[in-house]
Amino acid sequence: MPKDNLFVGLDVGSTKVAACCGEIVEGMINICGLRFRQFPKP
Amino acid sequence: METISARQIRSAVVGISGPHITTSISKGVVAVSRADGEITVSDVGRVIEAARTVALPPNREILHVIPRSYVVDGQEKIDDPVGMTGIRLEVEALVVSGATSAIKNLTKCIFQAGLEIDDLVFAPLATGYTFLTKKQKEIGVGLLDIGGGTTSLVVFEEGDILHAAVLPIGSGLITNDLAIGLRTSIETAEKIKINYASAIPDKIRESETVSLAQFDAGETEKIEKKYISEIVQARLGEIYSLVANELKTIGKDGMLPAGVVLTGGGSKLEDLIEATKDYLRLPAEIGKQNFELGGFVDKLGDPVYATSVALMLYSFEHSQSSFSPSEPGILGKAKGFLKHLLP
Repeated sequence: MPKDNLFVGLDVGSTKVAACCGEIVEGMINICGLRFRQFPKP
Repeated sequence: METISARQIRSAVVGISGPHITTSISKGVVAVSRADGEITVSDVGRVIEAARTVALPPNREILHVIPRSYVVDGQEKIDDPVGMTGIRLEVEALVVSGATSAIKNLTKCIFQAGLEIDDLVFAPLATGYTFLTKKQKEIGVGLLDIGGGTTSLVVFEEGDILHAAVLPIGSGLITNDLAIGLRTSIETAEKIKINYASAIPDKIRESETVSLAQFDAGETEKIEKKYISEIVQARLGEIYSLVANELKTIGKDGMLPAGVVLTGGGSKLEDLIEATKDYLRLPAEIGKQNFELGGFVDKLGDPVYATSVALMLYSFEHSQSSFSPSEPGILGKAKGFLKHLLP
């Protein structure tokens, strides 16, 4: 489990990596980061 | 990611998928431990552990043991036996396993990137729980995650997972086909697929053309849009024939009342919903989040983030004991999220 108030999901596919980072702000899940990288880069 | 979020990332819930993932049904049986016969959480844990003792080759590892239903003294289809009275407790569980080498390679990559792994989760399961409603899962639905290299299918019925499979074919092959068919680079083919390809060639007029010069200054050719879509259609037909075969093996070909929910980068293909309805003879729709989220929500509609968001929500759900969000709606919706994934 995460050691801090930060939740990260990492989706490692065969042609891409996607990451989503969320935290709890005032009782709501707040998405603070989204990243997508495709290989080969289009 | 750390730059965007302005936070230091130490660990993540990592999704695993690929054709090496297989599922099987396993049964476990135990005697109820208490003298008065009341079934406890401990008994449920033991019976799931019993289901885990399935004969696997040495090169495979169990990722999840997902209870589908319990049997108490011959009484079948029990969702939660805790508190019931009986002597014999049985469980039917779906065992998800993966190749040890693939699991080790993935974990090694994550560690080398300087991250710790909070949990390793079969990605389509996480996506299924995030993108499907309780009603859909109750009446029968399939989640089709069309990725670049693989296509994942998870089927739910009566609220439980009925079947999961990963097919070794994805939308990346459509790009490759376009590159070969149009004699262009992979990069140009990818751009053509995203911007001009349709899953149904009949909807395109013969006169519509695409100039390759807009993607690559060295190209001068003009290609008929219909021809592009015919290439796409051929590969899509292959993907859907594999999906239909998979549904046939569980007797659900054309038999899922809630239809098919599409996610993944491949689901962005134009006219895919209509094509899915034609190929699979089922209702079809693009997956939408079931959770209320704040922050960078504008990008969440993009199916390429579907799995990563689902995995993030998994991480959230499994740390609920540490936090007390005041929003009951979120908690209510998140309650029980993916709890069946872990033994």
